[in-house]
Amino acid sequence: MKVQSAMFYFPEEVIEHIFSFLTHHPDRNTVSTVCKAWYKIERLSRREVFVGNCYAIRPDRAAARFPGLRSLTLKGKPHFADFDLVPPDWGGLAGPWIEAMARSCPNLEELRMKRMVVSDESLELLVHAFPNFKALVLVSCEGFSTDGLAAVARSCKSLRELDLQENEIEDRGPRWLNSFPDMCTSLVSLNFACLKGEVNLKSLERLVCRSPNLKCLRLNRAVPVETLAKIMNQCPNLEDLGTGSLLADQFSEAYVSLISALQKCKKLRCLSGFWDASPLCLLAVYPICANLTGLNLSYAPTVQGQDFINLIQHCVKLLRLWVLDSVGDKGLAVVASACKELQELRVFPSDLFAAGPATVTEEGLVAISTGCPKLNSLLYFCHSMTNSALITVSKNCPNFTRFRLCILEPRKPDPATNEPLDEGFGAVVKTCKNLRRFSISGLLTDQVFYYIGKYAKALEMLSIAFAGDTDQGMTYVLNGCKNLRKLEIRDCPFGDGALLADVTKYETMRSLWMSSCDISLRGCKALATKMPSLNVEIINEWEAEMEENLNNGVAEVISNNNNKHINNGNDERKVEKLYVYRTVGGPRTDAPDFVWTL
Amino acid sequence: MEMELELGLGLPCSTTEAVDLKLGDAKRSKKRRFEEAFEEQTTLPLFDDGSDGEVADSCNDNCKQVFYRPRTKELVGWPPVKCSWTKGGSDTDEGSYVKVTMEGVVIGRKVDLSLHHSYEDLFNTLDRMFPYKQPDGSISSASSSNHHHHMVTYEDEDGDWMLIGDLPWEVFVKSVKRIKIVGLSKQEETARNY
Repeated sequence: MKVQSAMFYFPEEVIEHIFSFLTHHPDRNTVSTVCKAWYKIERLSRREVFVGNCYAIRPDRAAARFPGLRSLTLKGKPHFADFDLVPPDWGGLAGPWIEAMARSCPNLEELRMKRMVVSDESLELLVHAFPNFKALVLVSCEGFSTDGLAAVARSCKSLRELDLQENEIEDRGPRWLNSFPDMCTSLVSLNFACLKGEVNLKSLERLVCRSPNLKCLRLNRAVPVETLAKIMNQCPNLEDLGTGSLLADQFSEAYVSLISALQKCKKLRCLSGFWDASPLCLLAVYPICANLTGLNLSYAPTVQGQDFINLIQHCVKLLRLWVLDSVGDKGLAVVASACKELQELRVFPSDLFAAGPATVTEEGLVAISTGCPKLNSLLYFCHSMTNSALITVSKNCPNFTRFRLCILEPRKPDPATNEPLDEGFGAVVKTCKNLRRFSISGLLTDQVFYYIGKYAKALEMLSIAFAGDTDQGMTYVLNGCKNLRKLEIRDCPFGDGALLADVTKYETMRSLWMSSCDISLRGCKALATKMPSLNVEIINEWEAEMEENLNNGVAEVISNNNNKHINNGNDERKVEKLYVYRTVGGPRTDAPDFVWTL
Repeated sequence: MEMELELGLGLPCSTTEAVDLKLGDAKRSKKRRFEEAFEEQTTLPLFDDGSDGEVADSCNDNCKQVFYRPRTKELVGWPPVKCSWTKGGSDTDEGSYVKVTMEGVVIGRKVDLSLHHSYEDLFNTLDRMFPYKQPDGSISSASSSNHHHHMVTYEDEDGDWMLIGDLPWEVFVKSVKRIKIVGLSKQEETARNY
């Protein structure tokens, strides 16, 4: 076409300028495939790269391709690693990536990693290799200690953001906060809520004092109310606050100070923390509730009953709410009447070992859907759910993009009718045309998968547990969900037939996880043979031969060296955990011995 | 109470072995899970944390019954929450959890005593965790102090096994290390009910 040929006569700088308007990663990936010239222009001008699976490409290759890289986002372990389904030492090492970037991408400013293993040495390398380094965001990572944080604090000349979310960090003492140099005044965002140990409170206060740009500050539980009050007096411009421990005496100076400090923070929009929150301290928060858009009470089992109701009824502008199920259906009803703008709700189980004083059921969810029609994102743990409730919810809220429902008891049917929940979840996919993420639970047959395959055309991520009857269930999903990127399945009766039903499908997806299903080694080998562009990995922690002595209850485990077993003949053995993903990086070179690449 | 777990053989402390015991049958059944667990003896219900060695403990503690060890004793990774949620992110909370075992029950449980305020609260929870099937098939509480078939004992900080209920609640909470529900022999039953 004429327009297209005219593009060849544009100078590179002009094309590059045009590309700068493309911020969406898939778009940039697409333009790079048009021709060699565009590939070259695109790669040299690329500033941000998102790698959804760190094993999909070799770090060297990614780093060499994008020398101008400023921001890298990496994801490592599969999602089910959050629930202990992936053994420790599985992989997801950040080291090779940081080393590769250090060699090829000197302008790196931001690194965001999720479910990766990062060592203190890697953190040292990070801050020394990149003179402009500004932002480190670690989510659900592990492998480092507060010494690593000290290295980051010490060496970053203009650190803007240090955001640690739900990481496992080895506590080697509180001195890391002292490591921020006196001339470091650039902090905009600091989140150390997941640190379990003590922090040096004086250092914290001094740091905050010299950070005029601080907008987001999330403290850990070790920070008392006294310090919180002092800090807040220093940062009236704070927009996002995670409190420390909120225990205080009524007439204490700390409490009085807190009240006045909070009232000065006119820009505060997001609150979290609330550890050990006493009803008294909650009172201090009421004056700012009316402006809150985000509230996270999921670490505050003490905020329930009337305390919760008193708090939430003021939060009329709330967009995002995370709570524990101890607020009960009653609490959710108040949310429904007060928070008309609500878009995202997460209700976490508060006590997994015995039903607490209050939990949530389908009633709470129906109330929310009736009162909050703008709801588009849901994570809901409950003890029971009915089809009619789900149908009502989807009618009330057709805008769901993320819908995750976890009924705590696996395979629980609709208690009103004793039927499976196929129709209820089916209603969600039929009504919510923009559904991108879906997690289902309760008693479910192949029928629910028929609905998902037929209606969930926008679906990108699906999580299934204890559901389905036959291979047909999984096949419906593979055949029908055109935009599926991640499929994770546990404890479902899907076998080799389902696995091999549409092998080319997996090339269009990021990954497939199957654990405790009905697949065999033979099926997995067949998949690996047919699809060389995929890594087909089996996780078998032990092939144990058990010797059981019934009379005295003694059992012995003989754990065999797994590598010898992969080809020793019995391909009918069931595969415990399978992880399949597309890659251009070939088989992993860092796989531990319990991960077999077929 | 007998728990006949018709399960495969295997070591209990694996955290990653498949829960594929009788799931084949359980999957096709549309019965409610709790009933399944206690009638057909497939897997016990969830709500179990990573309490390693529970089975070993109950096997070694005076259990004279012969029973199969299950291949797994718990549902790993269910419900799907990151483990930091359950403990509230603090080490101090761990002190308030005590292990609870019941004679004849392979899988132990854990109770957070800080969420209970009285013996009655605790018994209610124990009832929920260990519903007891009477010979006539009805389900009743195994743990309430006036029940005829079981008594609730606990190990205190000195390592002695005591009968629950004698101390004031607050004192009990501080000294209890673990709890065990034991069946009464016929003699003890008679003596108690006399």
